[in-house]
Amino acid sequence: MNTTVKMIVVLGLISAISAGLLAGVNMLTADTIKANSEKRLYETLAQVIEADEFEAQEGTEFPLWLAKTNGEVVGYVVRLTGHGYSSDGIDLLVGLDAQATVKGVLVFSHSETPGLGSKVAEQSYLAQFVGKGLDSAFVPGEDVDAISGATSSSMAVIGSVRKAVDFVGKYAGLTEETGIDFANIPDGEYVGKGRGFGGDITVKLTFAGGKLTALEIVSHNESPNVSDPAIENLPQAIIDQQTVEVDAVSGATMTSEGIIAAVKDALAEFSGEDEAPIDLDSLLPGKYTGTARGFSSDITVEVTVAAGKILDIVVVSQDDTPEIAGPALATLVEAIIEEQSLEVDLVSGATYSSEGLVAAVKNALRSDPVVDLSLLLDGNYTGEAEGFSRNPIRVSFTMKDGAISALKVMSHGDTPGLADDAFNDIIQSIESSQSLDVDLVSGATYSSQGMLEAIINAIKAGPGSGTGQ
Amino acid sequence: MGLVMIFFGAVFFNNFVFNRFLGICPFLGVSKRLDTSVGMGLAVAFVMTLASTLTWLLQKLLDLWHIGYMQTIVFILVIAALVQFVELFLQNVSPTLHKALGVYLPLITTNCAILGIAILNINLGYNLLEVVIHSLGASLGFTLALVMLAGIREKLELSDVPKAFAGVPLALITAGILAMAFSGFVL
Amino acid sequence: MTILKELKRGVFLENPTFRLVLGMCPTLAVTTLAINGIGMGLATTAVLIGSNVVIAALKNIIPSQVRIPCYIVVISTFVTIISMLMEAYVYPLYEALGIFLPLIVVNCIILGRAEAYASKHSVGMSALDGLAIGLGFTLSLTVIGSIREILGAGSIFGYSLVGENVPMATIFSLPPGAFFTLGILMAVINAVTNKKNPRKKAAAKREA
Repeated sequence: MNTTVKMIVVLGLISAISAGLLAGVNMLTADTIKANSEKRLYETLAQVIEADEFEAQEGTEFPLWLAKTNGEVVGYVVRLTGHGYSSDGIDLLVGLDAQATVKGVLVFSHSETPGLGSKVAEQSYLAQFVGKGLDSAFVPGEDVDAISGATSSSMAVIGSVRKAVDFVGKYAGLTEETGIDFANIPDGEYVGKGRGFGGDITVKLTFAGGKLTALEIVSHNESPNVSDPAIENLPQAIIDQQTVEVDAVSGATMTSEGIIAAVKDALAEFSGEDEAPIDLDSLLPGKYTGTARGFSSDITVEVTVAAGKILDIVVVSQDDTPEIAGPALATLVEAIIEEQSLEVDLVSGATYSSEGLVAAVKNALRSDPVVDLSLLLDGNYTGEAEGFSRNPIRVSFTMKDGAISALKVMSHGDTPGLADDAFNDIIQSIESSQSLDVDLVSGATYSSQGMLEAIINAIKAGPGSGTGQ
Repeated sequence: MGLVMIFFGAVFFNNFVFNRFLGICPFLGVSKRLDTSVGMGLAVAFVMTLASTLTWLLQKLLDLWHIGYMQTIVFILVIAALVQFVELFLQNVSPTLHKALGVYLPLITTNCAILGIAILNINLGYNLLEVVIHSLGASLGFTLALVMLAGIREKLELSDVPKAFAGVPLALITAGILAMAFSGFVL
Repeated sequence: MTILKELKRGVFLENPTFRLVLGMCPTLAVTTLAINGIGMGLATTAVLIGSNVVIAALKNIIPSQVRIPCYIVVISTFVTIISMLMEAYVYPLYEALGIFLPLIVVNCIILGRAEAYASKHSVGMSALDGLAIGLGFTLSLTVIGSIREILGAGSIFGYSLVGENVPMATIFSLPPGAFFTLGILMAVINAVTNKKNPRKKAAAKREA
């Protein structure tokens, strides 16, 4: 036989036999392998959420399984890959219940540094995510921990869990899209700030003809290169899609979210989520206490308000750097009292402390005050409020040199006798203590409350005006 | 960013020799002299990049035909044929290059670094560009390891070492110390 | 007798790991645990016996010009079969060996035995050679795996030898530990055999 032909024939035959053999063994083992891998998958999924069975979903942004018990959806499992220190990524599974609350997190593959980054794969770290949900901020150092020395690994895991929560929130229809409608925004320029990876990102938006026409990143402090994809692409994406509901640029998630937050901040007044501005005139005279986060500690303030004016702001407690924060806060307090407004310039060099103070004052003024009667202007006051019955309780009193007198209930529809006794008790308590901080009369709670409310309404109405007489 | 990570990852963090344990045989066998180790490194870089590109394309076919189980057999045959082809090609086109790399080529067929990277590329799900970058990084890492060990072994040849340690045992321990240094790249 | 002699040759005199320094990649890579060492050793042994038998049976049919491609096809067929079986029936081991399971194909021991032994000997002898060399490889891997597991993880075949909180020399579970263990083991074996031989010679002299 010709050697060349023989060579080809032999090699071909051996290859053919080998291929046949492999196909045979493959057929024999394929089912077992598939069953095994499914079983392993379900066992793995069951580690993050308890359920009878899992059903893979197709065409979702991330691989998603519905966790079912007795045929009902009891939760979800999301698989995500976060990018930490190593190039291979951290693969994790997040189990969430039907309310998108985290039930369990499992890192099933990673190549982070053993003993350091690998700690994020340990349950002792991952357990902190259980119970976190749509209302969690996922801010390291606040509601979640990062492992020191393994920050990028930690951030990858934290980011992935947050993504899973948001994703399931959206998938299950739990979160409303914030839906800022660009078409309804008046033409003009809007500036906003959002927190990125390296600090605040400031953006300037230009609207013309009911459309966002330009989005400029005015300033940022993000790491070069890493954040570039977000800084270069995201503004265009927002302009193209005419919505802030755009996907974060992978690899630069924090920066992306900072930009999105900044845009939302700029347009906050149109989102319908904005809190009502504080109307000083409507505030009761008294002391208001509030707390907000400063640079490194909480700042607590006590604000004294009377006759629609901020009289005094006392910083009750704060632990920010005294040399920097102390003078800054003092300057700011003066400015707020002077301008009678919270829209004051922040003290540069102590931005966080300044923002903290303003936020604390805002929080204080939104809270319930301890009413201080001595701050009331002189005059006659009348007011009414609902008591036990439908008929209002109407009260009147006189203020003279900071003292309350002649407090009386002019009319009411509550149970005669019982309510009258209660009213008398309260009048006595208030006049003797010169304070509204009095005990309610048991057996006539509604009447007591109604009366106090009527007094507060009278204070709100101011002297001389009011109903009745 | 991703590509840079893949490249330096393959050179340092996941060094083929010190971390993935691929290509140990030539690592121990060809690291006695500095010049041969450079030649081997170049030959590996050449074949590795070609082979991983080719096998990546072939894997697409295997997936298309649902015969993933033929992966090993197809890959190794392709690598063997490729090495043969490269040898013939060099012989005819560039005799100088053939003279420099030729002796290492037959060794490369059974160098597990080549088949290793071909399979790794598939397992890691890289795209074609990533595959090329990964191969370049891996072969650079391999060459780096080889050259480092060869440099040290050349000096060790001249030293008076305990007889039982002479040769491979000492090379292994040296490699161990180098591996410790390389594990320092991973933070 | 031949069986014992063959086994002795494969396990000791021509131990692929310590004597011939072949198949180093799996030797270093998978020996973090003793069980992985055994698993890798046995998988390699199975491939070795299979390929030796087939190659010995076909030695007169295969033209010498294409023998290497033929050997490679035969070897990779066995490797693929073994790895499919392992994936189906011993998955944890399959996972632990990872990429080194398909890489048995390029383990120089196997192609080396095909070329040096099976292509020249009978089917029976080739099977025995495969078994002997395979067992030598398995034994080496198990020894290295045991040492690394004891020192690095404080256990042997998964059974813990020390308390929970005893700090272990983790480096033996990491890549550098693989190099150190193998290097020192080889040196120890060299030292022992070097000592043995002069003594034998001395004894032989005295008798004479």
